[in-house]
This record gives sequence, structure tokens and C-alpha cells, in this order.
Amino acid sequence: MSLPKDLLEQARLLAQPGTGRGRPRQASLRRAVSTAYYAVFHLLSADATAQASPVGPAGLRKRVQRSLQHTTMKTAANAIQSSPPHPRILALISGPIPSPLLSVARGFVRLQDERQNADYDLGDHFDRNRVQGLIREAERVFRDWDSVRNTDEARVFLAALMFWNLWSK
Amino acid sequence: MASNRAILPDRGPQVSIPRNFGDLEVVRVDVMNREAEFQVRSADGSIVGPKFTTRLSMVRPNSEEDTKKFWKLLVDDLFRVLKQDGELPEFVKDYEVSIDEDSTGDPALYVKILIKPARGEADNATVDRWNDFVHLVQDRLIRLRLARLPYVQLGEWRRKR
Repeated sequence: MSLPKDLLEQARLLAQPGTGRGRPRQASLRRAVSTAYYAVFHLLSADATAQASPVGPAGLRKRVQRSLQHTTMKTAANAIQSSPPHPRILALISGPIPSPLLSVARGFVRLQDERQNADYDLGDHFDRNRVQGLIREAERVFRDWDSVRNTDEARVFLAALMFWNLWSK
Repeated sequence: MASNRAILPDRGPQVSIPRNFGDLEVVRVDVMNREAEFQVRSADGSIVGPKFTTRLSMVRPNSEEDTKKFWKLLVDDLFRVLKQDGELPEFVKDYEVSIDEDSTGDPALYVKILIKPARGEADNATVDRWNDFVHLVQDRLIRLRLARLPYVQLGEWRRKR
């Protein structure tokens, strides 16, 4: 399996009931949320990099992939899901944003924000149902991305994930 | 309009308009018409003076209208409309509203939907219904073009002791 799919599977395992007390521990639930986000992050960043960079020379794609920034990706995803989408997006896409792409953008933003809470906000309690919802959201992003990734709209989205902060130039 | 918002951020600003002195206070939010009304609450507790109508999208973060009460009333009205339209599922027991900055420092509105907890691990169909409702609320908030980014979360409802 690929890294993104492995991470998604790992997230599911972390959210399952633990041995002994029955309920998963807070640490496991928080790691599950973080892992589900990174599954989606790597799913999208791999395709964004493949679109932006040639395969060779060796190591170039990995270098390009490391340049992706979470905040830029979130801003780009918000620009897609806003109503109406940001003018810089509309200038490149004719017609409405496909619903699976909206779902991917929405899921990415939701998971990134929850990942931040899971990793840093100790005052925020993560219960099992909340985490199940987030893992299911990640699964939906995988399905929807698979159905839309070869469209022009998805190619604009991938470029936005990488270059959004430079698009005002 | 003069304001002391920087000193009393939790209460909303104290304002002075001709012949009316007190705290600016939201009195009504209407998500269908995308507007809110504000008045002045005087020192004796009464609402006085003319009503100011503002577009919801014009309530800027840290402005005089940007109070916790405003956002709570906005979400209250949204849930009222959802219930009226038969779009409020039975598993929704309550919700919490807060305003903050998100992880990247952007002004954010957080709505946590408190659901009736599943016994054990919920099946996929149930979780999908929860998420569908999260998406519905998120979409409705996005369509209001608010100046705060809306985030909708799930949480298990617990009986208050």
C-alpha cells in the first residue's frame, strides 16, 4: 500500500477500543486524528508534487514536496470552498466547482484544524465519536479525490495548494 | 460612535449615540435575510434608542458588533431554520458556539455539534449521517459569507450534572 493509505489504516487502528478498559486512550485518539490528517496531506501533496515537478533528477520531487506549506494549502482549500470561490480560482475554472472537489477541500480544512487541536490543545477533549467522524471524513476525501483527480479543476486545485500565496503576483 | 471595546472586550463596547448611552448589543439575527439588528443597553438594563441593521457579512472581527452573543444568536437562528425545515436530525442534542483564531491565526467561528453518543463503535452509516449534518451546517455558514471562517466539529453530548 502507499504511504497515504497506510496512514489512513493506522488512524483506524489507533481509534479502535484499547485492550483492558475498552475505551481508546486520549493519546490514541489524538494520534488517530493527526494521522488521518497526514494521510490526506500526503495524498494531496504527492499529486501536487507530481504535477509540478519532473521525476528526475533523483531527489528533485522529494525536495519539491518538502516545500509544501500547511498554511498555504489550507488557504487554497478555503479559497475553493468559499461561496463564491475566490476570483483567482474562478479565473481558471469555468463552471461550478465539482462537488467531489468541494468535499476534498472541505475535508482537508476540517482535518487540518482538528489535527492542530489534537496535537496542541490539551483543553480540548477528543471522544471516540468525534474521532470516528474525522477518520470517516478522511476516507471520504480519498474516495472523492480518486473520482476527481484527473480533471482540470483538480489540476487547478493542486497548483493552488502549492503556489497560492504567490498567485497574487 | 465612540467605543471602549479595547477595555471591555467581553461585554461588547460601550457606545454613545445622541441621547443614548450604554453597551452596544445585538438584539436579533436573521440568517434568512442575512442581517442583524443592534441597539444600546442602558445602565438600567433597558434596550434603548434606534435599531441599527447590519449585514452579517459586514460584522468584522474585533469590530464593535463582533461579540460572542452575536455569533451565538447567529447559530441559534441557523438551527431554528434547520429545525423549521425538517433538517435537524434527532441525534443532535445540543451545540456550543465560540469565537477564536484558527490554527493559522485567521478569525474563526467554532460550532461544536453535540450528538447522542453511539453505544460502542458507531457503524459507517451512522458516522456518515453525523458528517452529512456537519457539512450541511458548514455549507450554510459559508454561504453567509461571514468574516470569520466557520469550523464545525462533532462531540459527544453528556448529561449535565
